[in-house]
Amino acid sequence: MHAISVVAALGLLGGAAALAQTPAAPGGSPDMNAAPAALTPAEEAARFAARKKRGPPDNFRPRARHLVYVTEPGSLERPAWLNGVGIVVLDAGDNYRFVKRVPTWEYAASMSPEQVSGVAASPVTNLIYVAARGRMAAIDMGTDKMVWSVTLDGKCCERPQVTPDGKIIVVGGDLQDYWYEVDAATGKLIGKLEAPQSLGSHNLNLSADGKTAFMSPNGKVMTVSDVQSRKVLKTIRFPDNVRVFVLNKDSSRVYANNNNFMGYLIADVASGQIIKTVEVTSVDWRSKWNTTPRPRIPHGCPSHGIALTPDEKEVWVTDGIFNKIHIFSNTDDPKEIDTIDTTAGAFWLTFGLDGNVAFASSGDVIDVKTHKIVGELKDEYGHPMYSEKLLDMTFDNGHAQRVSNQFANSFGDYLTAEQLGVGPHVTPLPGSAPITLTGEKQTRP
Amino acid sequence: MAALAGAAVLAAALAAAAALAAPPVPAAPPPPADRAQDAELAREGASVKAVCGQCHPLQIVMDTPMSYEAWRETVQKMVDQGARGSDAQFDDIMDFLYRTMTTINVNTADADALAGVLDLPEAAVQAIIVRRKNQKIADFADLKGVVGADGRGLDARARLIFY
Repeated sequence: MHAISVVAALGLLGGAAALAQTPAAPGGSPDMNAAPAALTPAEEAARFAARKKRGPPDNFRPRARHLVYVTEPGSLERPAWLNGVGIVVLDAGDNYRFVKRVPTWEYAASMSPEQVSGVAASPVTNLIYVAARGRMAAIDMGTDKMVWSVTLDGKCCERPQVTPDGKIIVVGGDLQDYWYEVDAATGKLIGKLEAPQSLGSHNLNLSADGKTAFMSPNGKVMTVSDVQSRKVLKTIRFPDNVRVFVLNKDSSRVYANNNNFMGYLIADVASGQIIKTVEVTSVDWRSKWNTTPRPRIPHGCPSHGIALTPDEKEVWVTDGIFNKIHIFSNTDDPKEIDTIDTTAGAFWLTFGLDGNVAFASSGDVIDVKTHKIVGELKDEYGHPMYSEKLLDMTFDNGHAQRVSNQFANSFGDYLTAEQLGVGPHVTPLPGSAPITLTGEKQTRP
Repeated sequence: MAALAGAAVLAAALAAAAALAAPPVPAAPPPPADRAQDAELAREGASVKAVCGQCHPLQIVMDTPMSYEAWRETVQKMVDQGARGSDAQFDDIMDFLYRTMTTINVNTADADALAGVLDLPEAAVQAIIVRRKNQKIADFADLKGVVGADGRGLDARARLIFY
């Protein structure tokens, strides 16, 4: 019975004829011509019942996917067409294997595409927001279709951030003296955050609860505003132009790169004062920097990239001169405790979910605990990607569950913020399963 | 009786296979449903075709015997990549893979696996277990000697068996 039955099943597979003629051979293909065994119905039933002991039903369902969305062209410091245009999606659960390229805007090959200036995403709207110098778009991560694209007043856009409730995008005007507030669902302009002392709007960071906007120009004065009222709360003056900056968990401290400086400064938000200046001394950057003519360093800044680890014990700063990342203890007397040699210039740092890995714009994926490079971001052609605008996310059946932040703040993604009591809870969309990371099998309730 | 029914199922299977490739041959009658086992196996095969066959040639399935855990992971990967089916269909698929394409080490497998994967009655299972306590089963001939007449169906599974 057995051989014949298997052939029957194989027949449904379309290969029965060939297999049925295969001679019997131990170790080879099943013997489809073997004479059927003469079993009683009771024997057959017993054997069949035994087979059912393979285990409980598996209740297969798609596992949560852990993906990295890398926007391109994602660095002003690289050729516009180096990695093409669009969002390159990689599988973080499979050594950052290429998954697909999600289209953004269409450009003629003869044209130069706009550089992506920032990226954000929300589990609430399931949209990823891509800003370029000229426009901003939202793409549905369940369909990979663009749902809106806006130019606002024609002067957008810099780094966007979306509030944890998924309602408001705050995004800078392109080198203006204001930031926009935009309806995250429709792209319609809600209002403007005026920042007259911060001419040259550039980077933007939101507190973990999404209530406070930290707006840095490519200038010396950072403006801090209330998102709801759009009123200026205070300004913080830095000794030189503020570059990349990150926030601690309660947004009481700003850790910032400054122009003409390799290292970082710490600003106390309450007092508006710079309370610490930490310089990289493990390399002789000043002799390289203070020469005439000054060498061309990407972003025109020795350190353009900073991260505050989730435990707030380490501060990482990039080194655009020697292609390194310098790691400092975040103590009253900070010391450089380690140095990472990156495979290319690193001009931005982003944390993955939970802060387990850091993504450097050199394309390196770095284990935050061991400080070792553990992966590399590559496009579908195997070319390293140097984007400074990427997000680490998990999905359940097409719905974003967790979303990292393009800035390497210590509070990480909003779920982490909620766990810390400094951010709201983001309810998974209806039908979504409990949040898990890749590798953990989900079963239906 | 069993032989006749099996032959009918074979005919149906061959017809189904032929229908997928030119030139067409005259249709054979559908398999009889007088034995629950055959009907279930046919249904399981149909589920394999309906779910797995949406994306890839099904010969791939038959060419790659592997452990049951590996099958579970493989099917899970397929689901991750978009394979869609009902719970009942996936149960069919796993039953099908368990009974036809799962590898087994006769020196280490438990009694349920020996019975289920090798289609052996309880007496043969116990014979294997008793034997391997004293001496490892060396090869296929050795195995057939242990199970005796109960090993009638083992030839078809020889490639699945490890020692």
